[in-house]
Amino acid sequence: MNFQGPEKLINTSSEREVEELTEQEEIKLSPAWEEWIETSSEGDKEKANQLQEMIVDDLTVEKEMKKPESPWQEYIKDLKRTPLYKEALALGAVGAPVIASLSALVGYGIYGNIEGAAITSAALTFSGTVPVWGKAAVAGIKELLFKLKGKVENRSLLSEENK
Amino acid sequence: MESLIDFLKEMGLSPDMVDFYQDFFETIPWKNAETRQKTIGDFIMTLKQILEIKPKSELKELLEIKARGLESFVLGDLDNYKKAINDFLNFLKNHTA
Repeated sequence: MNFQGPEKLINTSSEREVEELTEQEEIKLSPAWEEWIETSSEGDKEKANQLQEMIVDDLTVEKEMKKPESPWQEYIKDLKRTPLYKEALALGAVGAPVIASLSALVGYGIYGNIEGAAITSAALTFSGTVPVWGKAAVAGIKELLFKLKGKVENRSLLSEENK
Repeated sequence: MESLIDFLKEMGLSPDMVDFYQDFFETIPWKNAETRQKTIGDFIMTLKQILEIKPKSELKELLEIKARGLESFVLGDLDNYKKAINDFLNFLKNHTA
């Protein structure tokens, strides 16, 4: 492992930025994501590789964000002073694009408490066998992703008018 | 849910963005109706707390980046997903000292 630290995140802006980060550390995917890739790619190897790349990119950024010295920690430090602040919900609101949101909001929703967000986060990032307590979280995430895919396929935010 | 939709509209998000967030929250397999109501309420509260400290334009930008990231993820759109992540990193670059 040879991360160059948060200054690497702050001082680069090219399209290769995420690729350079992921090249520096191997991320082993949770079985939950392996299963998602397998069912989503439907035997298309190129599609499977793309999905894996997206998850690894996201987990890499999220891991960097959680480091005490990361720019995201600096960005949210003022929020921690507010009495009703919940870091998991802030992650859901303004965190990295995908994994952090799913972990925080969906975990909160499935289990009904802040501990549920932590359980879900662990189930999605733990590289070993998913423990019993994480099964509901994994099933919930898969249900969400498949249903959401069906809803957004006909209405893309990536159209010109939304860019 | 209505309160969340109203809040996102007040933030200036496009109708498609608002629809996306509505879809996202409607699709979460909630434990029960009470949990749904509480989580959405806490989420709105968190956004309002962020607005006490950060400019509206910043929160709007983050919500847009996040929606694009989530959408490209569920669609398996690698190029736009990478763009969303890099937009997020650039956001931090531009808004931290």
